[in-house]
Amino acid sequence: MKVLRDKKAIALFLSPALLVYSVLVMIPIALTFYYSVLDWDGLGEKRWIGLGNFAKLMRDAVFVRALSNNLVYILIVMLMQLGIGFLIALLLTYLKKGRGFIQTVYYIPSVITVIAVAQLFTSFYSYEPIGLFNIFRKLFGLAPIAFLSEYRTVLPAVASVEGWQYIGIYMLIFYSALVSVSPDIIEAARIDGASETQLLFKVRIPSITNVILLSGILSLVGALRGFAAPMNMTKGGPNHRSEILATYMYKKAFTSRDYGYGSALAVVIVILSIVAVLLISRYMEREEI
Amino acid sequence: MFSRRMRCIGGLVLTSAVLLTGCSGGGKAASTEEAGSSSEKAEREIHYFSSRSSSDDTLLSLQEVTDSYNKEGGKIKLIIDSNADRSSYDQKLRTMIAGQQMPDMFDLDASPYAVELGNQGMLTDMDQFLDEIGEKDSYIPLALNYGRTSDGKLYTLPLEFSTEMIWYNTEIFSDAGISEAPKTLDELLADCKILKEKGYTPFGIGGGDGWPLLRLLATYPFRLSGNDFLNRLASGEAKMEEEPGVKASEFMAEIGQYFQPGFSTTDVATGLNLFLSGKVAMYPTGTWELNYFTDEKRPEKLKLGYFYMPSCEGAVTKPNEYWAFGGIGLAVNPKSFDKEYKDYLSYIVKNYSKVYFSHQHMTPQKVETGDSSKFDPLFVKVMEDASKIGETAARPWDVVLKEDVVSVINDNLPGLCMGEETPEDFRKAVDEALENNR
Repeated sequence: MKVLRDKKAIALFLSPALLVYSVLVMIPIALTFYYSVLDWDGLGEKRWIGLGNFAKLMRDAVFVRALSNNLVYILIVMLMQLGIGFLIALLLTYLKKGRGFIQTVYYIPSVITVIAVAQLFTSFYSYEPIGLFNIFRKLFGLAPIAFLSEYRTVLPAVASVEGWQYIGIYMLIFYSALVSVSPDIIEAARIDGASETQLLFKVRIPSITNVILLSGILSLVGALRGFAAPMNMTKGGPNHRSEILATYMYKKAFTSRDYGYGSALAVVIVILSIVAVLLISRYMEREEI
Repeated sequence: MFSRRMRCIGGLVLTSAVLLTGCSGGGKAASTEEAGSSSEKAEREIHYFSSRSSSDDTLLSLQEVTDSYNKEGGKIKLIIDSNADRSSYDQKLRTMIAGQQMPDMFDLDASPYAVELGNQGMLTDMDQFLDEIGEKDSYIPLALNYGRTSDGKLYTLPLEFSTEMIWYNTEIFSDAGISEAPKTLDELLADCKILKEKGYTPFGIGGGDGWPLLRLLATYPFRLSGNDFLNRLASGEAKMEEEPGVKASEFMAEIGQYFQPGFSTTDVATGLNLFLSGKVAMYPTGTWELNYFTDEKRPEKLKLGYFYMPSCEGAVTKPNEYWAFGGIGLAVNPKSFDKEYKDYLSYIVKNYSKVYFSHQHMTPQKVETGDSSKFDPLFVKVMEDASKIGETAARPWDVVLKEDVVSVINDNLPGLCMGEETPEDFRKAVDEALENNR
């Protein structure tokens, strides 16, 4: 292991991964920045327009709607993934038997492709032929709803798909963190007369703050990248009610053939992702101090 | 120090060599494989990027024609990449072309995009090709000319000849006391109202696919102005605020209340199933789905009829003028259009329609129909109707208008139909898109 003390050797070992990462990630991002200052329809000449596409963004009502929808989308996804994931993980810590089976069941959706999950939920939400959710509504004496067509339900409906799909991953992360809390501390708290609620909020959660924050970053970045489910299920409709930045970017670039404007939208997504991650990691650093 | 640096450089070179060897090894294997196959067959591969489903009779017919071409000594391997989701197809095609990866053969509408491609010399001139092989007269003018772009150029060959109509369930109509199919748009709305009051879902539509809603939107403008209003919209001379646009948006706001709930995410296949299973009273589609309605194929209990585009007060087009076109056409990449490819395409032009007709479809070329008793009566009736079509056929909006405008219309139409957006808001959004795309 002596070789690992040599910085040049470390650099050598890291260089292939860096090379692949640069080709697959950094270069496309740099090209996106380049295209964002162009007016190009994919065929004719590329015209340099400076920050013209970004100025157009500020005046674009659909962009504003997509941005606000994106915030709601992120909120729903994070609440489901972190909230429900944590709740299940916590319940699992009290479970004596069948834990492995439940973990597997909750984890399965994470390994299914998003498109298949989106198709599955499209059927669940369906009005005609009647889908699973509307069957339940009828059983409870409620009128069926066209979840993916109605303005008020469409955004929560598509966001829930991504939220639901990855609950299993966060459940596993939280469960691993919760069981790693020293039993001595928990035992000591119990002897001191702490209730289960106090144990949770005063001992367990404070002990795994970093894991929670890390999960927050993962979930946030994942939600910011959300695309496949809304695109597949509603194409951002009706009337942009389920439009998020990624679907709008895709439609502008590939449906309207406005590659420059689509790239400008992509740049906004990249910047927002970086800002969000920086904010959280700065918060983490502060916590560590 | 020197030796350590050299070791580093040596390591990098080795790493790169391993990577490159990996790459070149794969390449060598592939080329050996290609060489092997070429020595055995020497086939010419033609890549066809298609917007149709792999079970579509146009593709089956093309494959059959290719097989018979090969039996007669040809050596063509037609590789079909089928992408039935139309919007996804359009996006992929445009991205491939923008990335300099134009397929040898692909489906293309006579849209503003085709004009741009044609202006840059990226499409084969089919007028010239058909003149060269002397086959232009074999085509039905309505089918062939549908593929002409706004500047009159022909870059595509039609593979079908379709008409569009609205199918209706005669038993549901009778039960609601409606004795005949509506002839005008007002009658259509009145019938929808009666059907709804009777508890039926009057109109099933595959709104998720966009184009069925666009067809209904285009009805009033076509009846009131032929294709003139549409052409003026495309050229930036007209606005939706003019009478045909106002009528169209108000009509959509009204008929939207009679669509099945959830129509905006219903695809055409689901819409068709709703009609075939008797859950909706009417369903608009074209003759490419005729096989689902024939005596042999449709559900036994289903009794149906059809009517063409209803008219309206002040109409300038005749009742026998409606949706009739050659469908999305076949375009050819001029870079790969050499002598061998030209010979193959000539064979297709000379033989395709006969094969396609044998699958009970109307063809873009004139064919000997022979004994009609062997065909389904419905197919024969539709063919008879087609022979009586007037001079003007309605042109689809999604072919004539720019992609961005069509995208804005598609985004806003469901809201208009659901009553979430007013006709004024809708017209304003479309006019803004037209202005931005002048």
